[in-house]
Amino acid sequence: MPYFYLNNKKVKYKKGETVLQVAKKEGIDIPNLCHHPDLSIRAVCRVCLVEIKGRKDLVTACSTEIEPDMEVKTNSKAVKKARATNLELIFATHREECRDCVLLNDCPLLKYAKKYKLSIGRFIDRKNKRPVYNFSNSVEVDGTQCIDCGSCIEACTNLQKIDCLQFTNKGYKQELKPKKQNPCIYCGQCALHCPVFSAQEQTNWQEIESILNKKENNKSNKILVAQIAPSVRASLSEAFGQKSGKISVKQIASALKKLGFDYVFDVNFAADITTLVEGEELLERLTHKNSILPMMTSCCPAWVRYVEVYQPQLIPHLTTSRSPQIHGGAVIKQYFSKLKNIKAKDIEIVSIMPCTAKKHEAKREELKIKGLKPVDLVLTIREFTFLLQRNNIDPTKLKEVPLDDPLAKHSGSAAIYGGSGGVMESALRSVASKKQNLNFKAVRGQKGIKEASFKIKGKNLQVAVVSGIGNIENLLKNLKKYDYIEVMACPGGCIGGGGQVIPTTKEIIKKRQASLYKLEDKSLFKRANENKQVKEVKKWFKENNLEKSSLHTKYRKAK
Amino acid sequence: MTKKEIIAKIKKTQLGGRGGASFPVHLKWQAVKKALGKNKNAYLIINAAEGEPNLIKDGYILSNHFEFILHGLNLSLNYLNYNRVEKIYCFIRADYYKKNKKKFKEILKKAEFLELSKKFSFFIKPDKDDYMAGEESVLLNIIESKEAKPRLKPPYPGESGLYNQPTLIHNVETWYSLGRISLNLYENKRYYHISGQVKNPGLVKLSEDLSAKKVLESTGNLPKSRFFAQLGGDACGQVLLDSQLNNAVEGSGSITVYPLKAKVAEEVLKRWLDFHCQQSCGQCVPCREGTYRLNEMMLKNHFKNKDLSDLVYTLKFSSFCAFGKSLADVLHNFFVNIYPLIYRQSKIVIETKKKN
Repeated sequence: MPYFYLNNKKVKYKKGETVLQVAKKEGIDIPNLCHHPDLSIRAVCRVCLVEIKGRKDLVTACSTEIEPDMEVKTNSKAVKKARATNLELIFATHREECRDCVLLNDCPLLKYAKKYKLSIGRFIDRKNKRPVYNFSNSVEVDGTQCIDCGSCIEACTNLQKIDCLQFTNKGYKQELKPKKQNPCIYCGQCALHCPVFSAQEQTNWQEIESILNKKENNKSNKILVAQIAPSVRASLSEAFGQKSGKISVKQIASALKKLGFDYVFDVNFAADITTLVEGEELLERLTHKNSILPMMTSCCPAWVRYVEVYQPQLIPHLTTSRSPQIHGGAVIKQYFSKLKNIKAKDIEIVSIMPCTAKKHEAKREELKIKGLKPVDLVLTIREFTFLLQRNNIDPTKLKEVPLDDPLAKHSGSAAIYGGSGGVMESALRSVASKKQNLNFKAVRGQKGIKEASFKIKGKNLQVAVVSGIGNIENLLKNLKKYDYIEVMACPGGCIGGGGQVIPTTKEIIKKRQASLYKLEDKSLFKRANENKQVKEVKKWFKENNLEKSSLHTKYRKAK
Repeated sequence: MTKKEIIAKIKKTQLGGRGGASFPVHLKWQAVKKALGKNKNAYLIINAAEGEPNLIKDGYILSNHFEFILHGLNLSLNYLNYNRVEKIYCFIRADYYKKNKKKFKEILKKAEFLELSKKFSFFIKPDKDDYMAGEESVLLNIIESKEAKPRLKPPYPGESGLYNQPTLIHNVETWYSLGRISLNLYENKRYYHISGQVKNPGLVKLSEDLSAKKVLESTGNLPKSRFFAQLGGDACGQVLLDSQLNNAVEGSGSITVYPLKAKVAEEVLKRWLDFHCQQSCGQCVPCREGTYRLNEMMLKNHFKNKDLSDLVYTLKFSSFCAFGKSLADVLHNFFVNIYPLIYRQSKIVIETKKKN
């Protein structure tokens, strides 16, 4: 193995590795903003500067491959001086609204300012009059905070292949703008990859804080209910400095109760409902002649939006089943409210989601039941984290409390909903025979397109799973060969979602996936069909003739 | 001529690129050849974007010596093998093209360029892309319909350029000189463009190793009163006092003469800063933000010593491409060489030596 010198220390490296990569392994923190391991290297923020003996200029660690015997200094006088100036120039392109910024506690700009004792106000902010672009109620791109690094464009164009963001003009007039011809699908990958939260979710934590305050002062009769998405328990602990999967859903419930929520439910329960509804439809489509195949999942709202905007001819392929978040809302506002004798309109449901598109989904008109939205507010995991931090609640330190009955039990299938392949595997388990091997491992993992065929009820079922909307195109070319397709717009599924903890990388997604499958191992039963509570609730919907209006939906071509 | 002989011939003339960086031409050719390997094809490009204000040299050569440029291309076709060259682009300013269109067509019809012309096409530089098109990787991106921004180097264009193929890019005068070399007419001369406060402004062809002072003297252009000059480019060249003109002129070979007066100096400084601020592509922080802040100081007419020094330093050592670095050099030259004389004191200290 060749070696080089990093701050005078002899260090081994592999050919092709960059200074930034090896420095990280060696525990040397080289500050950087425009670098993300899953995006191509652009080297434009000029913050990860290092000095290499014999080179005239400073170079960027992110883009410099190591050569034998290279002598690299990461903190020389020259590095310090140029790095400080570049950071101070960047500060003046980013309007500080730190107090209310969801990224407050993880902001690299604040971190570097403190670490290198820099003056945030050295140059006067020059972008304060730039506009903010809103995408539905899900994502926004704030021109007053954009540092022009282009990570969002990379994520949108090269990762997701939606291509709805661009730079216009040049030099200091350069400005990030939406491309009108390519509408946004609200996936939030721009926000997930933005180093300074200029691309971010449109926040709702303020509204929740206000309800909580009113409740505390007895000025509100609202019953505040939270529901927790499957993938939240895989990643929340990372935001509190721990490894993936270290906060249990019962600790999250405890944190929510501490905040002042009246009831806390698990979207995993609703996921079992979704599995059953979707599984039934799959069987129906498979057995009836002339039904439209392949059937496609619809629980990812960014994927649904993609179909409605870019591929409306696929609308008949989408399962009519509503998503777990919406099923959860219906169960709480109808079934649970009857059980507890609460008026549905007095219930305020807040979803804790790894997703920005769920905000848009929650306000879709056709999902309303008796004029009420099934879910009132959606928080990303980042917003939820921020709310906890503001209230000095650290869920890692909390005792577990059980989720609220009778909607607390869920299958192992629901536990894996948060990762790519999870929805497919859950549906397959629900339609497979009991004796069959219920581990459909071929659909798991992060590969862009996973294909498999299984024997279900004597039929050969051809399936595909798309992880990341950027991979969809190849699949659409061969649509006819499949019976059932799962699509998640974000790479890795919800554990890589646009509302996830920052940072999210392929490596981190892998760990989150592992924690989901660990959770499944702990679950008492594997298939959604074995969930007695769910069966009870489904029966209730059927008896009250609410199945169609509450469990199914329609889609429409976007204008 | 064998390929070895071609390289030896170019090497002997010590020809350096005439676009700005003066990189030895024979090394560039060898790099492209090496990168071709067994299964790649090369692109040849004439950079006729000439975007720096006040320069006319490339336009003159295109109008009057297009044939030599083509002979230069023929030489490289021989060296790289005709069938290993995918295409030849002349990336050209719209006005230069319009003016010479007919002439170009005629010349390309000549028997000796028949084979060449099958692969040859013009690419008209879009107006909006202005100066940055002079940077070779920006030029490549424009041809590929990508953003007009420089690429990361390495890989260098010689290795992986247009459509990721090995690409040989030279400025107009470099191809012209190569043409003369191939016809055994090269005399180690280059074009000088003299302008500003002089008696006989214009283009002149003289030996390439003359000092700037000699060039001015021999053309009857050496002013009697004190002056300063910008060498090698009107926005990006070196800025020197009349007493500092003893070295050869580099870059694009221009000499612009200014009287040593406060008002003139201020105007020139304003023009440089405005030019860089407007033409920066916006990709990297030191250039996009640095040029903006420097221009802001100029407009407020207040240069804070530490800000100026830090910004120049950062531009110089951390810019993405040569454009930001060139402004750093101009400013450094100006504040070290010219400023103290005009204001009779050295108020501004600019560090440019890297400290370890």
